Amino acid sequence: MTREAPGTDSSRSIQASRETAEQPPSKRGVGTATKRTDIASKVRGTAIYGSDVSRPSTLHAAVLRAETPHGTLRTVDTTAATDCDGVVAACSRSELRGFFDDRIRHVGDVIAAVAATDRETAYRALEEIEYDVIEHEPVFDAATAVQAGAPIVHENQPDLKQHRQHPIEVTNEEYVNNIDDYHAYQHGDVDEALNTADHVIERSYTTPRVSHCNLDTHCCIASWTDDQLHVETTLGNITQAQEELGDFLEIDHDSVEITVPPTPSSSFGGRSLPKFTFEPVAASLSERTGRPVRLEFPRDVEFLAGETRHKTEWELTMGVTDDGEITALQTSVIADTGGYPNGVGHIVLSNGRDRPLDMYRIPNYEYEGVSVFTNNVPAGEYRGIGVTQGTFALESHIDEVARTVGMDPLTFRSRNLLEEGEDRSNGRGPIDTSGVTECLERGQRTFERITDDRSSSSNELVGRGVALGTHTTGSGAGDGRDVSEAELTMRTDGTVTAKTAGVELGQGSDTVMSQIVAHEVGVPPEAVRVERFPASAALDDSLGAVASRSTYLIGGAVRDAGTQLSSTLVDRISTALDCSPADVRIDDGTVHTDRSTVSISDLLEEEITVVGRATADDAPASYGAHFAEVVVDPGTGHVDVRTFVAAQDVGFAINPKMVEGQLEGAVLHGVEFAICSELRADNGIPENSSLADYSVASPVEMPNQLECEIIESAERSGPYGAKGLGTPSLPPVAPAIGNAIRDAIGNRITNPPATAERVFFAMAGRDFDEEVPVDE
Amino acid sequence: MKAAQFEHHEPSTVDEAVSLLESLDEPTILAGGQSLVPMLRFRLARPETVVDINGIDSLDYLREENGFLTLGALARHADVENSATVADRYGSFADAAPLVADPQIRNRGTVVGSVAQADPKGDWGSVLLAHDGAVVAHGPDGERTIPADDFFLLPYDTTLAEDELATALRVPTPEPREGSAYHKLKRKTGDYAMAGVAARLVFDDDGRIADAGIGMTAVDITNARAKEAEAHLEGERPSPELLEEAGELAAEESNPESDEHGDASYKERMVDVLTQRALADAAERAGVVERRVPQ
Amino acid sequence: MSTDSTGDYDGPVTEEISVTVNGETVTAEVEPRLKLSDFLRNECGLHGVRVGCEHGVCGACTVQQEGRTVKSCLSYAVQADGMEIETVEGLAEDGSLHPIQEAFHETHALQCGFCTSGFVMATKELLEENPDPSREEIETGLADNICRCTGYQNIYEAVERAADRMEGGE
Repeated sequence: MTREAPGTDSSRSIQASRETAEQPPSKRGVGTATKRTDIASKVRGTAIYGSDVSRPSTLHAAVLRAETPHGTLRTVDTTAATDCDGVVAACSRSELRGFFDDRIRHVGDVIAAVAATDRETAYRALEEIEYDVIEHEPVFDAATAVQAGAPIVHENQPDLKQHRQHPIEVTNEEYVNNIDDYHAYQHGDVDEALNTADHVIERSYTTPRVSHCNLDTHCCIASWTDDQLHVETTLGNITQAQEELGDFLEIDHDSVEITVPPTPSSSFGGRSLPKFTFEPVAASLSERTGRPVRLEFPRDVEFLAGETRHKTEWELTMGVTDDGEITALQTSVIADTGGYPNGVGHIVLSNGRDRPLDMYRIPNYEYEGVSVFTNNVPAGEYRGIGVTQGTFALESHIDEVARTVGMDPLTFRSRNLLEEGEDRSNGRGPIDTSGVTECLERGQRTFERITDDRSSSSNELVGRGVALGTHTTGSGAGDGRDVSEAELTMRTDGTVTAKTAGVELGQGSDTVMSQIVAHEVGVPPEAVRVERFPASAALDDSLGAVASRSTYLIGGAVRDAGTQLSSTLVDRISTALDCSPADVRIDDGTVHTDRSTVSISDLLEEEITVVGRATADDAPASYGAHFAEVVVDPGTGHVDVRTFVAAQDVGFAINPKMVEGQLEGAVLHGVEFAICSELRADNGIPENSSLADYSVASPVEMPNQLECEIIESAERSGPYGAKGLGTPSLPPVAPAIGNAIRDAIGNRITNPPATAERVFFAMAGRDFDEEVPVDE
Repeated sequence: MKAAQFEHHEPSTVDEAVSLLESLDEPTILAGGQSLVPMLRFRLARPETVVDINGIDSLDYLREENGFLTLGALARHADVENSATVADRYGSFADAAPLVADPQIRNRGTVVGSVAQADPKGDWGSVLLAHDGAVVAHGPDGERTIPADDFFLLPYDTTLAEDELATALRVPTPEPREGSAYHKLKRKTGDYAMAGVAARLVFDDDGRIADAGIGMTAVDITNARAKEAEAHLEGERPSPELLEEAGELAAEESNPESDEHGDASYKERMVDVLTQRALADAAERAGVVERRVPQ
Repeated sequence: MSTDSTGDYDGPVTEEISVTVNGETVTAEVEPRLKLSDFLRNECGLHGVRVGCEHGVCGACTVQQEGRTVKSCLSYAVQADGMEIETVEGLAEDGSLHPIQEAFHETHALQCGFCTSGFVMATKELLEENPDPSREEIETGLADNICRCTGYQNIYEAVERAADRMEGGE
């Protein structure tokens, strides 16, 4: 493997962009790379994560999990387990509270659960449980599962949030069984446009089932006080989680209180919502025993019950003119939901439908998507839900189409991009701010600067690729229903407490909020303490820390509160000092007037509390243009991502260093999606459910040279011009790498990950899928 | 889940260790523990007693003496990686050491333990085979030397007796015109081999191959020699065509199985590629041919 | 799950061990099967020793034993008897962060922070062996530690900054 010296510091390009970006209205706090507020305890090792939390008289749970993918439990005998020393309760599946029936739907599904005085005793007691299961024919292939005659995974279509999100009307006669969700849409006349197109290019793409692999394993503690359930667990979307857990356990939403541990750990969507075989099990055992119950997933169970990114199969047909104008796109997708929904099939399918229209002018468009229950491990939310898969298919396809037409893929894209202010082809309002052109130009310039002086030896194949990607900020509706509120309290000592619905999952939201308060009020960021308000508070928030809405929407509420706090504070001070409010300047916690300089704490006699609010009337799209250079070993097929440039429009970088960290983290998840990761299964049994066998990207798999270009398009609706970052930065990564591999070897891997083996056979011109079935 | 209960014994001499092995019921030997500890944790093994040899200081060495490079049972992978002697004279050892697992595991795991573990995906068995090396074992009847060719039986099974302790491994010091190399393909950093090939070439004064050793990793039920490829090389002058033929022969001799690391047909092709590359490096290090990496 | 039934449980067999942990001697009666990671977390209360995978792949449980980094989930507490162990909690002196911790703080070399203890300890050995590592040496030196958040770039920057500081005699 060739190695390059570290490249120029990417912060330089951030600086460059800042000079050209519109300056924010005021100048303190935001826009600077302040230190994170949550780091001291993390570098000292004193942070308390979910797996560190303990409470007095807590019992430890263990779950007997299914080893077969589909069956009906006939008998479950927990008598012997109950009799074990140290066991307080042993419950069969049907004895657990709520929606648990007698059906096993995936490997890792719950058969029974035990609560005991220590974890080892609980696991030992599992060995004493006897059960009898009638096995049913399983179904693992989503395209098969949706056909008539396929084994039924859910006898009665479950009423688990999914079907309340929108009315489902299936118009495809071939889609009969196991439908989790369905969307169909069209505008224009696709058939006619394809008939008259100069070129029609049709291809299929498959994306793999992958796992978040959060390092801190799932751990929750459930306890009851009278009829009130309390669960301490790391969850990003607490409001919705409380509703879902209430529905699942058949108790009032208000009877569920969720709190997070002192230091929540990473999520990437994997901790957005509850999981059927996790929180409800702990809650049931706690109710049964009358004591707090702690349930922790062993690492292998993370892969079985911790949710995965939906595996998807895409068919794309595109019509273009000789001079490279897209005239039509026909897309169909089948997504594998696995054994249980968690309410996000709708998001996978709607993202697959809408995102291409945020990027390209597509006058004739037809889309059909179905998410399907199978007996695979459950799918759920994973950073870039649906859009990561859809962008891989679309941007791979566009690369092929450009090659067919004989155009440079970058020029082809530019030719078809929507411009700022231009209406989307589906009639949904115009694109407000789009930094995509600047992303393309700046990214390309940087990429060429880095790669131009490269010579390649005859023993390596070098390829270069580009891909675009876009995703909307927040829940995506932009209809004003998504709301966030924040409460700020300034104490007489001059410190500020900010209460928000944000959850600091490592993404840096607490730091961003403290920067916003510091900026608006004029206190140092260290004087701002950020807390989560309890769900019982009178404050409103719809979704919490999901959907890249933290900075945009929660930050918007904090900014609103900050401006109120600032004006109240200035009024109080001007009264105290008997001067005009216009003469008061507050900087770094110190009050300056013409006559005096005093600290806030000397002047403030009563604390001030204000509430700010932001509503998502828009769902601004964020854009990225990513560039990859790969080196392929012609002997083995090994792919080394040598260079990567991520040019991303973030609206405004409130903390450029943290923006860079989010981008680099996105590149990691994209690199492994492109070349490393896949949760493989044999008859529904995951084959690589350990971190030894499941590949994630280590430092070695990461690009040898990685540069981030931060573009600031100054989004009108976001605080200081900011918009979503975490989600939109991931989708372009994998297709950029896939396109570079295509460029290097002359053949396309349509089913990532592009492992050495797949690339080797693709180079040899063999159809890998015929040789070795990837799944099933 | 914790490991099952076991008794822990810590002998301080080889004799003490051997008498423990003799007297205890199915004991397991703990050296670096980097493979054993996870096996116990997942209860893939449940020994009643563990004989921990980390206190036997006399086994902690790596040295050249009496015509052999000898590694004691407590020589860690990192000791090989950091050894100037190895770096100068034993190309295959120097190649293999940094490819074993990751830095921290190399600090702790032992070379002899890895060979005695006899995981067909282990790297050191192939190096030992390519070098015509041997395992030194101590038992109730004293010391014996087991040639590498007679050592491996099945996955995780060797010709060591229950009451024998592998105390060292050794390979002959290099001939004047000798070179060796190890090439390994893995799915990701720190992983076991998907396939690996160790090669050693000894040349005569005439520039012909006098002796060839090829050991293969992860492509048979044990680390295995590619004997036909070796025989094909002997007496010949190295050329790209010769190496290609040897690679093809080694691939034919391998017996990989499809598993989570890859498909058997792919592994077989990789034996071909890795054999050619290891032979090319070995020839270059012997000072006989100029560097040329085959495709 | 892979649990099997046996009647081998006769109550724990324990050994007394004495380990110097972050400069303080800890004496405890432990079962031989108690892993060093569990000993440090549960007996010594050092939760900075994180357990991510339990079988030596993620590196979150990295500590120094007799001055060499080891994965504490891959050895037993009884094997540390009479030895010196240093964990991330032992690095700060008189409350001041160690230059490596300081560098991680300044360069945003962490997000959720779960992997940080392991990276800090791995960096310590890396810089002890090689005070001025190249980017490639940093990559391979830290290859046994997994971070899911940062993409590693800021971690490399932290290591380089710490190397500069420590070279400077801090």
